[in-house]
Amino acid sequence: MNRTNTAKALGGIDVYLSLGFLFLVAFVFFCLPGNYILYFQETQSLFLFSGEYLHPYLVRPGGLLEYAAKFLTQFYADRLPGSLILSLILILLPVMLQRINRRLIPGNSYLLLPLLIPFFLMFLMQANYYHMMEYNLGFLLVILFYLFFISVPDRHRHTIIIILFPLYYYLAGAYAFIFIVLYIMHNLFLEKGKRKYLNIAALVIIAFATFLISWKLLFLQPVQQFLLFPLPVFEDAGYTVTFSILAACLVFYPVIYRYITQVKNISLNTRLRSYLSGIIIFLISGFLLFKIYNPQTAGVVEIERYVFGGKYDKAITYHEKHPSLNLIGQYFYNYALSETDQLCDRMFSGRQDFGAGSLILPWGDAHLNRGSYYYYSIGLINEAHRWAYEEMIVYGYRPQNLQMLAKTSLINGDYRMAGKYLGILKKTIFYGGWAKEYEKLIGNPGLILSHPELGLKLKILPKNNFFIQFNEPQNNLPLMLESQPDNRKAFEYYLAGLLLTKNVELAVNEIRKMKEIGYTSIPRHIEEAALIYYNATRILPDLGGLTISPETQSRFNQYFTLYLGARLNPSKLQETMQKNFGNTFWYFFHFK
Amino acid sequence: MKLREIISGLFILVCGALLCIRCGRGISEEKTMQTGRKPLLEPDYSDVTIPPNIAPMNFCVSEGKNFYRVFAKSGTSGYQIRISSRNGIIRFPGRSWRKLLNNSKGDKIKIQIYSAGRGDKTASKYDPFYLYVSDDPIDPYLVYRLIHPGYYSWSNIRIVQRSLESFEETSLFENRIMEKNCANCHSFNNNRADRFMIHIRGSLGGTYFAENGILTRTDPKIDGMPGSATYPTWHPGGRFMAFSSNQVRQSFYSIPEKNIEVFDLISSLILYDREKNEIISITDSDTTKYLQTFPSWSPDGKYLYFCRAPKHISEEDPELEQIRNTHYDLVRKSFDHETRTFGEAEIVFNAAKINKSVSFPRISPDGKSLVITLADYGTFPVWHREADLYMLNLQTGEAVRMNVNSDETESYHTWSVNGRWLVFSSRRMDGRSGRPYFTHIDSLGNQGKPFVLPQEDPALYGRMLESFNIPEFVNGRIKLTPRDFASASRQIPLKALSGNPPDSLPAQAEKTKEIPLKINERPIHQ
Repeated sequence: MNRTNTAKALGGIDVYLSLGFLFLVAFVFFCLPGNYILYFQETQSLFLFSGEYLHPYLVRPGGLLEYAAKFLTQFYADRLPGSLILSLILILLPVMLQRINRRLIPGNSYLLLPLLIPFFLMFLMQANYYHMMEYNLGFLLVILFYLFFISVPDRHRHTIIIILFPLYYYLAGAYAFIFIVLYIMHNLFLEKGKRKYLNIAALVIIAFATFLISWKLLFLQPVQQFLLFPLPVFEDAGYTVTFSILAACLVFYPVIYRYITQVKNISLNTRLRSYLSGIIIFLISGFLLFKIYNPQTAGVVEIERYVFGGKYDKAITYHEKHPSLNLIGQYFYNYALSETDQLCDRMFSGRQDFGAGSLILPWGDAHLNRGSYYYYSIGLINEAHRWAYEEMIVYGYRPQNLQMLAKTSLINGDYRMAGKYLGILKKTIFYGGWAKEYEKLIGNPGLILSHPELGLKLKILPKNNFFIQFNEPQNNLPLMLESQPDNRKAFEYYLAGLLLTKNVELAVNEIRKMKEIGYTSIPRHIEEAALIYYNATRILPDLGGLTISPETQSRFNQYFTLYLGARLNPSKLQETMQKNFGNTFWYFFHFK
Repeated sequence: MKLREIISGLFILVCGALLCIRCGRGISEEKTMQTGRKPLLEPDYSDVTIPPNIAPMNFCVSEGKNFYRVFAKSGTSGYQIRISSRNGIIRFPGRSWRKLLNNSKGDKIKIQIYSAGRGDKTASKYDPFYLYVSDDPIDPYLVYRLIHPGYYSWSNIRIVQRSLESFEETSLFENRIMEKNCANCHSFNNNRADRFMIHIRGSLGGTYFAENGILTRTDPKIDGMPGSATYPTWHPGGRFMAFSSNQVRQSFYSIPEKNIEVFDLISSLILYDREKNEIISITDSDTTKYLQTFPSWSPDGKYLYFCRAPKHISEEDPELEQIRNTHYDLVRKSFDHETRTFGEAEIVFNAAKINKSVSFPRISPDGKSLVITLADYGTFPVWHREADLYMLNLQTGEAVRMNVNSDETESYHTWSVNGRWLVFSSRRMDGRSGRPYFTHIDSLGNQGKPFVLPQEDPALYGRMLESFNIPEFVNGRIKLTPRDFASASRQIPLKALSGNPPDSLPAQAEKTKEIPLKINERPIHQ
C-alpha cells in the first residue's frame, strides 16, 4: 500500500468517524430495543460500596475484573448511562486495536476491516443477555496487556511481561490464558531469532507456576475457578462459537494484521474498499442481530421491569398489546392484575396459555427469583419472605430480593432484620433512596399501616396459623380464606385458578360470598362464568344479593348469537370468536 | 513534585495532626456535664464478667456525637488506657488490652466514657461501667459454623476457628472447594483440638474424623438406620461416639410470629465403636414408640443422656397439633464400655409434665450440673423464640431458668474445659442470626452477665446476616485446613459395619423405614 496516495487511502478521520458511527449504533441499540439485556443483567447482582462486598473478589484470580464489571453494571439501572457505558466499553476494543495497529506498523495503521470484525463479534455476543460485562472487560484486558507489551522498548518487553504475568493473571483470571496464546503467536510470527522460543517457554513456565501457586497456596477456590473464571460458561452453541471466533481473532490479530498489510499490490485500505467491506460486515451483523434478538424475551423482561418498578398498569397494557407466550410474562401479568384488583375482571384480556400454572410458580431453582410475588400479593408474607431469602442465598444480593426481604420484614414487624436489609440497599447508588424511604417505617406500625402498599398487606395477613403447602401451593388459598375471609386478593386468585382450570361450578358457587366480602358488583369474568353455568344448567347460581350486569348479559347474548352463526363456518369459527370475544372467559372456556 | 508542594502538603498534615490533638484535649473533668446514665453501647458490654485471656472487648458508643473519649482503668493497679474516637467505634490496642487484663485479674476494669458534639462547650460524662475480670481462663479457641439462618437452600458454608484471645479467625472447612456440600455437626472429644469430627452431606459426604492431624472419611450409616448419623457426642474415652439417626422434616408457618418448625418423624440412638468400626443400635425394652435424640455423655462416660418423647407425630400426615403435643423429657441410660451395653432408660427431668420440651443436654465437666434448652414443644428450639437455657442440678434434680436468657432464642450451649464458662448461641441481637455469648459460671452456679464474642470491628454484628452456628470450645489451634478436608474427600469412605445382634436388624429396619415426604414437608438441606 502506498501511503502517499492520500486521496484514496483511508485515514485516521475515516476510522474514527466509522468508530463514532458504530458507537452510536451500539448506543441506540442498547438504549432502545436491546435495553432489556441491560435491565436483566443489572437485576442479577447488586454492587455495594463496602469492604465486605469487595473482599470475596480479592481472593480469587479474575475477581477484580468481575468487581469492576459489577461496578459498571450497576449503571444499567438507568437506561442512558447504562447504554452509554456499555457502548463505550464495546467501542474501546476497536480503539485499542487501532492503537495496536499503529504500534505494529506505524505507517500503515488505518485498516477498517480488522477493527470492525472483533467489534461486531463482541456486539453480537452482548446481544445475549447472559453475556455479562466481565466478558467484555476480559477481552479488553487481553488487548490492553498486549498493547502494553508492544509499547515497551524491545529490549525489556519480554522480561517485563514475564515479571508482570502473575499480577496480570490475578487481575484477568482465565483471560490470561488467551493472552498467553496471543503472546505465543506474536513470538512465533512477529519475532526473529531463536530467543523467541525461550520467551515462550519462560512465559508458559511462569504461567504454570502462577497457576499452581494460586491454586495450592494462595487462593482457596476449586480448580475449575483457576482455569475458567471469569470466562463465560453457559450452554449456547451460537454464543460459544462467536466467543471462540472473537478469541481467535484477537489471538491471531497481530499476525493477520501484519500479513495483510505486507501483501503487495492489494490496496485494502482504500476508502472504497474499506467502506464497502465495512458496510457488508455491518449488514451481516445486523442480520445476525435480528436473528438473535428475541422479542418474546425482551417482552418478558419488559413486563418484569414494569412490575418491579410498581408500574402495574403499564405491565398490564404491555402484555395486552404485546402478548407474551412465556409463563413468566403471563405470571407477572396476573400478578399486576391482582395488585390492581382486576384479576377476575381482566385476566382474559391478556393471553393465558398455561392454565392455573401462570398464577403460581412451582417451587424450584428456575423460579426462585420470581415465585415470591404471588405470595406477596395474597398476603402470605412468610412464604414471600422465604422465597426471597432462598433467592438471596442461592444467587446473592439482588435488588429485588433485598427489597422483598425488607418489605416483608416490615410487614411482619421484624424491624431489626428490615433495618439490616435496608442497610445493605443503602450502600448502593440506585436503591439507596428507596431504602431511606422505607427506613422511615422501621419501628412505626402506624406508618406501615397507612403505607399504600405495605398497609394493605398488613391488613390481609393470615390470622390462623397453618403449615404452608409448598408442593401444592394452590392449597394455601382455601387456608388463607379460612383465616381471613375478606382477603380479596386470595379470593380472586382462588377464583382465577378455578376459571383457568374451567371449574365453573366451583367458581360460581363462590359468588354468594362476595357481598359479605365487600364486593358491590361481580367481577366480569365471574359473571361470564355464571352465565355459562346458567346456560348449561338453566339454574342461576346463588348470587348472594348481587346481580349480573345487563352489559354482561347483553354481551353474552351477542356471543351466543355470533357463535351460532360462526358455527356454520367451522374453519373460521375460532378466529371470529377470538376477534370479537377473545377477552372473555367464554372464549377461553370454549376454545382454549 | 516541586518543593513548595511538598512543604504545603507537610504543613497541612501537621495542622491536621495538631487539630486532632487539640480536639482530643477538648475533654477535661472541669468541662463535663454528668448525664446520669450509662452510655448506649453496641454490643452491650456493661458490667459483664470476662475471662483474663479474652480478646479486646471493642464496642461502639451509639450516642450520635462527634467525639468520644474512653478511659479504661484497672481497678487496683491503676493502669489505664485512653482511646479517642470520632465515630464512636472503640478499639483497644492488643498489647495495652492484654496489659490491662493482666493488671485486673480477679478485679474489675472501670470504663469511663465522655462524648461531645461539634461546637459543644461541655462534654457529656456518662456513668462508668465495669468489666469484671475473672481468674478463670476461657478455652483459647471457639469453633463454629458460619451459615445463613435460612430455610432450605444454602450456598457458602464455613466452619471457622476463632481465637478467643485475639481476632485471628481461620477456616477449618469451606464448602466452596468441596463441591458446595453441606457441613453440619462438628464435635470435639473433651474440647481437644486434635480429635474431632465433622459431618458432610452431599457428593463428598461422610463423617470426617480428625485424629492427630490425620483425617479419615467414614460412612457410619448402616442398613436400618432411619437417616444418617447426626447430633454426635464423644464418649470421654474417645473410642465411642453416640449419634442420633433422624428423619427430619421442616414445615413453614403462615403467621408472622413464627417461621419454621423442624421435627422428627423418626429418631433413634446409635453407638459408633471407632475401634471396631461398628454401629450398634441403642434399643429399648419399652414397647412405647419413642423419638430419641440429642445424646450427650456424662463426663465420666458412665451415662448417656438424651431427649425422648412419645411418638405422637403421624408419619403419614404430620399435623401442627401433633407437633405441639410432642414434649421431650431428659432421659439417661447407664453404659458399660466393656460390653458396649446400655441399661434401662430413667427419666432425669420430666419436661412434659410442665408442658415443656428439652433439647441439647450438656453436662458440666464436674458432672454436677447440666444445661438444657427448654422450649414449649418439639425438638428443634432454634426457631422457637421462647427457647431458654435452664440449669439442672444433677444432685438435687432441680432445674432453674438461667439469668442469661433473653426474649429471643437461646440454644447450642457448650461448657469450657474448666467448667467455668458456658458459650451459647443467642438470637437476641436481631431475632434471626445466632451470636455466640459467653457467661461465667462460678462454683455455686451463679452466672455472670453474658457478653457476645468480641470482634475487631464491633459494628460487625449490626450488618452481618450469617449465624454463628454450634459454637464449640476448643483447647488449642487446629492445624488442619480446608485443603486437608478437600484431600480427605478423595478417600473412599470407610463403611461402618453393623455391630447389632443378627436378629435385631429386621425389627429395627421396620421401625425406621424411609418415609416419603408430604406436601407440606421438606427435609433439611435436601
